[in-house]
Amino acid sequence: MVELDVQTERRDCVTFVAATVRNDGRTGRRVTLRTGLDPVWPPRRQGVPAAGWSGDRVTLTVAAGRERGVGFATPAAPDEPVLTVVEAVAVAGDEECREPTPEHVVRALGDPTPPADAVPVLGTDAATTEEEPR
Amino acid sequence: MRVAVTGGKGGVGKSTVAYNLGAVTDAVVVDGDLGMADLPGSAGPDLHDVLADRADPVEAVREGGPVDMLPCGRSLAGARAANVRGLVDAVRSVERAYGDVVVDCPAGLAADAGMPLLAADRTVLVALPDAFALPDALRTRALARELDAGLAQVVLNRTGTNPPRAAVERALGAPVTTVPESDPLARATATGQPVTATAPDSAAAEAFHALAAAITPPRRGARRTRRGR
Repeated sequence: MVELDVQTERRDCVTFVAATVRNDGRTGRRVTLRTGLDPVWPPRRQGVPAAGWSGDRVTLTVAAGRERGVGFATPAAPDEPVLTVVEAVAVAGDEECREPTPEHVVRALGDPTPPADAVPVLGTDAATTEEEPR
Repeated sequence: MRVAVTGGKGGVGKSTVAYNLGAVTDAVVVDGDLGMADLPGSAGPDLHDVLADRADPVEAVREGGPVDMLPCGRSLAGARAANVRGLVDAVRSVERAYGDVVVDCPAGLAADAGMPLLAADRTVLVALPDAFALPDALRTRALARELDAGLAQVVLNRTGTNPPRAAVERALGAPVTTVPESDPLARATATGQPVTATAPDSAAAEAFHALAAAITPPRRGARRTRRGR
């Protein structure tokens, strides 16, 4: 149901872990992943660990048929199990709807459509929007 | 793969990067600049028509040119009729039919710049080395992350002899590809050709091959399959 694809890259004594979680099922799933690496440097937003991170675990919701990415860094070498799926529970439909939708994007950033006044109307007032004759 | 080529600022070379990246990865390039399209266009249905529900996105793809394109119209009336909310479905339809898609984003951070990030699964951010607009780049990166199209690569475009690669890598936390200031690239762009076709051995062409390799890392466990065509 849930397919985990993990890649690691070690650079300058830091291991970068990048994974995708794919949900091939028909319902959304809340997936909890655990890493055996210690310490974990989770991604941070404004200095705080990103949503879903807690210690060596991260929880994320993957909608049906979709995939999501997750990643972290650690100074440890990638010997331990890098990431394993601890739990993948089905979630109710409305919880999936928290994924951003086109409507969310327009609401947050504003509709880019040019205003009607900016669009020249052919025939009626085209003369006022055209350049003056030279 | 659905790549958004973005940058926040205008005039940094987003369209040039998108077009050449499309050529190297054999992707369909979608001109997502609804208000100021600048990729090569031609007669026929375009993205404005697709977003106004007047054309099918797959049928609006032009084959036969140097790069498969879904061009965008250039009229204000077309931009007004287009509903940007439809971009996500249009990009997915093109991906299902053709495989990889590269979306050229408009400048700014209104919904027409945000929507390609929602449609994409990874982002390439284009910046200039001397006029590096860090706040713009950081805001665009934050938005890309929120919309699940994490920053895959930064392109420092039109670099000179000593590009500030390390400083940009540190500031944005993403690997950097540099595209040098290049006459072959300028000539190719002026004639609507990818530089990989007109000057395959140039440094610019090599840079776009490196960019393509960097954003499509070999995947373990899962093989990418190309559909359609």
